Amino acid sequence: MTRIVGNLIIAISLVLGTIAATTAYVPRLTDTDSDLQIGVGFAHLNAPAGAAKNAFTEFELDDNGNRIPLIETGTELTPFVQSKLRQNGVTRVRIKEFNFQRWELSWLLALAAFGLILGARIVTREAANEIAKHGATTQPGQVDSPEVVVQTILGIARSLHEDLPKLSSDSDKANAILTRIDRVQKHLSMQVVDGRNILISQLGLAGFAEFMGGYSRMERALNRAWSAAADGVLDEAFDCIAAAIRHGSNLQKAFD
Amino acid sequence: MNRQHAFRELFQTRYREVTLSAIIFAIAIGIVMNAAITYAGLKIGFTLGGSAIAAVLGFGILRGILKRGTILETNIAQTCASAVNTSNSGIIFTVPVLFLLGLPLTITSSTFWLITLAAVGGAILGTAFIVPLRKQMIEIDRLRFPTGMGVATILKSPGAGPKKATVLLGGIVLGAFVYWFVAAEQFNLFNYGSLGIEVLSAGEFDAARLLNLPAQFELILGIAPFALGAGYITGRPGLLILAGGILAYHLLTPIAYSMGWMPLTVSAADAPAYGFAAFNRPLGIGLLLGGAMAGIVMALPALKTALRSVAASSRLKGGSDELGLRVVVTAAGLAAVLLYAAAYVSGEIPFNRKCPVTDSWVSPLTVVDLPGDISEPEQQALVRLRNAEVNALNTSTRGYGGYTIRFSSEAAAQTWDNWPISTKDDYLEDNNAKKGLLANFPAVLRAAVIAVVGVAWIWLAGIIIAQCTGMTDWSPISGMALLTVVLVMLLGGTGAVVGAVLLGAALCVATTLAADMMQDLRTGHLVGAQPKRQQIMELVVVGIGPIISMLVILVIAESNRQSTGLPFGPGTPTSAPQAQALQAVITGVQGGEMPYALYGFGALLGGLLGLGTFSGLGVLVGLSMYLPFAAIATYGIGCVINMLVVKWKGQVWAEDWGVPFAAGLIVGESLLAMIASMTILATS
Repeated sequence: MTRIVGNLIIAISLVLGTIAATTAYVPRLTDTDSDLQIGVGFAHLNAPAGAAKNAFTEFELDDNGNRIPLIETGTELTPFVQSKLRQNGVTRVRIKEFNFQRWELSWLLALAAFGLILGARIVTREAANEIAKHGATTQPGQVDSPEVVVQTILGIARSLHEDLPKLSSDSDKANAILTRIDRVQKHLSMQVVDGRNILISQLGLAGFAEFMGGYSRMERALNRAWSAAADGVLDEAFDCIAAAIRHGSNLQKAFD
Repeated sequence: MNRQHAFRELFQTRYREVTLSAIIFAIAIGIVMNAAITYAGLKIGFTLGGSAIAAVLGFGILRGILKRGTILETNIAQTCASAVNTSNSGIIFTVPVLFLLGLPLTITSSTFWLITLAAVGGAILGTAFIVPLRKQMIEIDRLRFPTGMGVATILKSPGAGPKKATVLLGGIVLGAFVYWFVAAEQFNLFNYGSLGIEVLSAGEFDAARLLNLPAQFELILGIAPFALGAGYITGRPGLLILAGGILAYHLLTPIAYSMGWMPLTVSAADAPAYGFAAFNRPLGIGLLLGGAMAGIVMALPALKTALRSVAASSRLKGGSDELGLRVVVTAAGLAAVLLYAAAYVSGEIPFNRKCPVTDSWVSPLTVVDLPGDISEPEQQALVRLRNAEVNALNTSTRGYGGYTIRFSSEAAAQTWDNWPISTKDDYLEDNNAKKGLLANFPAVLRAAVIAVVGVAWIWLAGIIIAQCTGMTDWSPISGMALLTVVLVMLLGGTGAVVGAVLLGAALCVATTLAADMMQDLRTGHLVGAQPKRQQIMELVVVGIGPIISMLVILVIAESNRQSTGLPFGPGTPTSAPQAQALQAVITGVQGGEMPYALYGFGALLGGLLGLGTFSGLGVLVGLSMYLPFAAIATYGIGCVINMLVVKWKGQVWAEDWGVPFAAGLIVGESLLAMIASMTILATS
């Protein structure tokens, strides 16, 4: 529940922050000409302002059916131009120059930034609590802990290494490699990756990174064994399985 | 002895991986793909990656015809072929802008070779910088890299059994069939209008119209099997992409429209496009940037471990499976030198085309400069005449405000020397050449700073692009090009267009190759390839691509000139849409129209989003605000389908049978798009 609240705060803050930012260059056309003053001159339009109307107060259209701008892009918003825009009911203009003082919704962006920090704090604290609560045990819905999964993978590699010399035909050997490593690739590897939070809680972020490096070496060796078996190069496959066992044995030390 | 050992290790013979036939095949197919996709990209505005195509062709040729290709050999072939191909997107997004701005490139011009040199430097840099990140992104963070997974599925299909191969083939056929209608419309072979279904047009399905939503709500689904397949492979995490799209297109744009934050001249139907340019794109790019920075900071402990591991691996006895940091440092140094040389020489190129004092032309004319109401032979005669006059001038140059300025004679230059500073500044201002932050630096130091900033920026942009492709398969390359050009113009001055495009090209080539390399390394991981072999081979061939793309651009520009009088742009067969967008950015920077504050606020929000439990959140939201909704909607549907399949049939079934089908969709569209590109090139 707390986590949902945190995520909700983040989502709402993001929406509010982007809405506020959208108005950064669109100041209100106030009654005070000097509000759009920059140094010795005035701000410049970065988009057309207003739309020309005919005597019947309908918008005038060009040949393509588009409204004709009252004031073109790039025009300096001198008091005369501002007055013309006001008379035509224009309330906001898009300008080139940004200024915090002209930006009405700057407070909303600040609020959104605060909300994002607050939301992030809530969700990270909640995540840390969850990890502390579960500790080295499994995550909800997960069958085995990463430690157990690594042992299972290592067991598969060892049994494969022992069984292969006993098999008579090359096709049997290739099938054994493809089938058993397939299980690692599709079922077990995913469980190790899913156990990320548990591993981080056990080993720390740097330790986790080191563990994943070692695990990836074992995984890659098994993947290579699979490819070599699929290509019928069984010597290579056999050596790769041996390499995977080596890498896996080193990996187990991380849990000791 | 060591070299012999390294050579033997690279070309090991027991299990074929790096072989001569794979390399020759890869370079040949890479060059063909590069040329075809360069042309098609200039015509239609987007390019396609070559990995999936090369993997399928590799199977056909190495395994089918030569009867000896292994999974890993085909993997090396696709790695090299896509390395040769991929640089084209970096080139076509940037280089044609020089033609559009009237700055001619010819085979004999120094600018042409400078840009080529910078792009080759960028290619080496992009490939080298990604070496230490492989561990971080593929092994530790386990990013999905959907295309990389798809290519691995193709490579593994011979060992996966006939049923899965059939599923893959089914995906390819369906992907190609669906995409055929889109491709056919480009050739006028088919028209969606002929179907009589109002909501279908030009490869898009307008769901908003079907649901009678107000016009300012853009709800378009792209008919894109590639996006659907990539979305499926990404699965649940990709849904965040859809969330950012909804924020941009269904919240911000309608709110801005209804609140009167858009000009009155913008109609409801035009509101999504206006909103994209005015606030969604700058905010999205800012979010991307801030999110990526936050991601790097949060991942520092893991990144440090990865770097230590890469450094240690190069000291292992009997060799390691990874290129060491020495290669990265050497490549970065070499590329920095290339970038420095290119930045220095481009800084010496006069920015003005007319003499400030006499107002006479001081650089060769092209037909772009001439009035369009005279016949083509007359135009060319005029160009020859004026160029002869320009060449006869005894011009002189001066440095001022960080620019090199050319004068029609030494006397004119001396007159300039006597002008007051305010007049000189006015001249620069009137010619869209405001002074940059480094204006007062000596030329040598200015080039050095630009080269160092360029290398650092390429590293950061490479991480951003690789993260984006890893998480979603989308690569925000045009956004990065835009930021590069803005950055260089801020440093060197708004008149430093050649330098900006030059570094833009280097960066785009670097980042596209970084992303491509990561996809290939992900594929390699899944099939058990040795990363070092992939990295070495990519570094060996990567310089070929930019040279091919640059030459193709010259050929196309010349051909267009002869047929239409213009090198690129509207009115030519290759309108170069991405370069037109970059041209708009350059003129926007020169005119002071860039909404820098929006980029900054986006970066702030993106950085803060990364403080939560998922540091890549800012990147994903930013990316989706910046991409067209049609693409992300289809991608999101792919993610939803994956979630439904997982719920219905379980995770293993979804991976086992869904991923080959999704990979087939990606390959089907890519193959057909490639055939279309080659047909366009052959018939042009």
